Amino acid sequence: MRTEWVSLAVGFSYLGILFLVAAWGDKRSSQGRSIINSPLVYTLSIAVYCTAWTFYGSVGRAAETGLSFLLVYLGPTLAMLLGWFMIRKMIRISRAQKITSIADFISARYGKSTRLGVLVTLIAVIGVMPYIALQLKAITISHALLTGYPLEPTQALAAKAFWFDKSFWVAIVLAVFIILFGTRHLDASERHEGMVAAIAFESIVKLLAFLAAGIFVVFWLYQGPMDLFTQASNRADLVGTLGLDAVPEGAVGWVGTLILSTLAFITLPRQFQVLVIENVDERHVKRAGWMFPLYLFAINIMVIPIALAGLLMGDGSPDDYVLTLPLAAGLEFLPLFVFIGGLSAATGMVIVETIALSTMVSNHLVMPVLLRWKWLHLDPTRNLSGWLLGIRRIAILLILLLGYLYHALIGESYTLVTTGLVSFAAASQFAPALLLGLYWRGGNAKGTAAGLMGGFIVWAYTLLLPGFALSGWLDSSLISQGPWGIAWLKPYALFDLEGWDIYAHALFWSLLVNIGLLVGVSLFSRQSSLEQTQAALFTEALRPDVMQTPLWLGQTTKGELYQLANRYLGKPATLKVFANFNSAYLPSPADETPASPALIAQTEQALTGALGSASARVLINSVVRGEALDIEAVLSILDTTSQAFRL
Amino acid sequence: MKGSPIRSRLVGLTLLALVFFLPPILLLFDRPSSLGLSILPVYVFSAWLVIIVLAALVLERKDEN
Repeated sequence: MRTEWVSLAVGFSYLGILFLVAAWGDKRSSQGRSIINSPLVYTLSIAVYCTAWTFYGSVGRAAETGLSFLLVYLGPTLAMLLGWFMIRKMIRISRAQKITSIADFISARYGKSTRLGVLVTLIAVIGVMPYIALQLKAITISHALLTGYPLEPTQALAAKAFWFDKSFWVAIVLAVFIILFGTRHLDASERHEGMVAAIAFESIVKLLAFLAAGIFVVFWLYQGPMDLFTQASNRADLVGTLGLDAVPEGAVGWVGTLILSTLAFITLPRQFQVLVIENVDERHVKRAGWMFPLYLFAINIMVIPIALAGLLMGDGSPDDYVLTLPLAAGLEFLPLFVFIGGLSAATGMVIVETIALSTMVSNHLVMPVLLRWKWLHLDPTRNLSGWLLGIRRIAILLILLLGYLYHALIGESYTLVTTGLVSFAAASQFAPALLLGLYWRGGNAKGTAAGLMGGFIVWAYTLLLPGFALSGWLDSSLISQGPWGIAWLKPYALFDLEGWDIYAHALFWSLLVNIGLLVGVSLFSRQSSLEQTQAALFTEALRPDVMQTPLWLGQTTKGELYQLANRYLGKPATLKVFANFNSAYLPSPADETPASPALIAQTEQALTGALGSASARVLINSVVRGEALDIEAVLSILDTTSQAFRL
Repeated sequence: MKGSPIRSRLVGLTLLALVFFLPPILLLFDRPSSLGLSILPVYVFSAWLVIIVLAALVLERKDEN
């Protein structure tokens, strides 16, 4: 039953079912009977947080460093407790401003800055690439184990030539799947309902598969939990496994990982996507506030038993225990189910992450370049909306191929958890810009850009470079003696800060530089007027009277607006924008009547949904003459109401 | 600005969770059980469940105002 063909057939059937679920979700959505409009589905879609890293890596981490695996789930629990005002605030802003990604959010908050959009996108792509590679690696290794056991997965894989490399084909198949379901509409702020339905389905599958493996271990291999724990206690070398001493660098490592996972839970591009962008109704956040922690609790309850049983078996890599335990017992069906569970965890992550990243790449890297190409401006009749979908599709393919390359070149030298936490630390660099931006009006684009760059450089130096050194790409003396023998520059002990767990160490230095530059530079530089308006709109977002005012005072004609929208959105979407104002009105390019401020604002929002806020602003500015925004008026409205509010 | 009761309760609950999950309270429970293994996991999972139940009570409560 564990032959190559059976496992392939089962794997592809699973993807087929996923496809059907997604198609069903999309169909129900277009009929206006959304299946994802429930707090339960929202909760399950957030559970895309649990990747193959959770599925296989938690057990590995528990076996090696004890309870530290739990911190990755306690952090999100803390974040969700505060979600009812923090995440809800982000949802409300994103809805009002048609924001489509975390890069767009940060760019919009600091005056629709193109530069910040580019910066966030680059950091996200570089930082998250190892994480995608990790999922491909998990799929490949679990498949090799399933078909090759008791052969070690590395041996089973070594015999294969490059084009037989499963992870390459996994990457291609996933790319096709994501292109089919992620890029059906241009407007990225139109939610991917089918995708969310598929992700929620995957979350159920991985939970059931993991619980099945755990129940098998506790009640089949052993006579209940007491039996397992008694046997583990009898082994002198296992007695220390569960204490705080097993956690790297004890209490410091504990606190560091807790902070890291709290921040990363909100700032990872895929988490931002499901938490904020794909949210249907902000009231769902309330129930998810306790249901999501409960899901995490359930998927973790069996980790320690499986890890202990694996250690007692004492065979193979701890990252593989979930699969090797049922395989060693000679079972037929359970290993297959566990494999599917791991597959669902990995594919869910790859799908959402790739969609989030491809939107960012197309809106914040490619679009700004295209808008600066003069020849595109010269031909105003050219319709570019088809291009945008094409760009996004190519971006999806490239991201997955990059992930595959990373996996093929340096993926082997890392355990699952190490790679995941490196990505967490990269994503955490967005936290100061995001969270300070929600509550502190003074932060500006210069400060944020400096903070992001500083934090990213420190992250690369303290986690990425030593990782290359560990995998043999750089001389390992970098870690032991520092670059050129300068001891206080050692990447794992910067300025001789010794005795810290490497993640706590990297997080401390990178966030110190990041927040320091953000606050410091902001305090000593000026905000542009657009930055002031956006800062006010973001920080006051939960007040009911905000975001309603049409902000435009500039002049343009309906015809010009129509041409612009038509060119980037396509005709159907453009007609929808205009129909919102006067359903009887038929727009034409030759219409010379002036456009109302509300219509200009609506057009900008529609463009933002497709292109990102920075590019949309550039485009609107290209047709609107005169003063664009009545900033003084907006600010004074906000200030008087907020003063009234404080009394 | 007067905070809503749910907001204050959630902040309080978050602080409680921090007390539960951070040293020094954590260190109190890092001691061997009668079997020999540390009872820390039992403590962390129980504390976690308590936080989840309290969160459910706070969040599912009908608003008074």
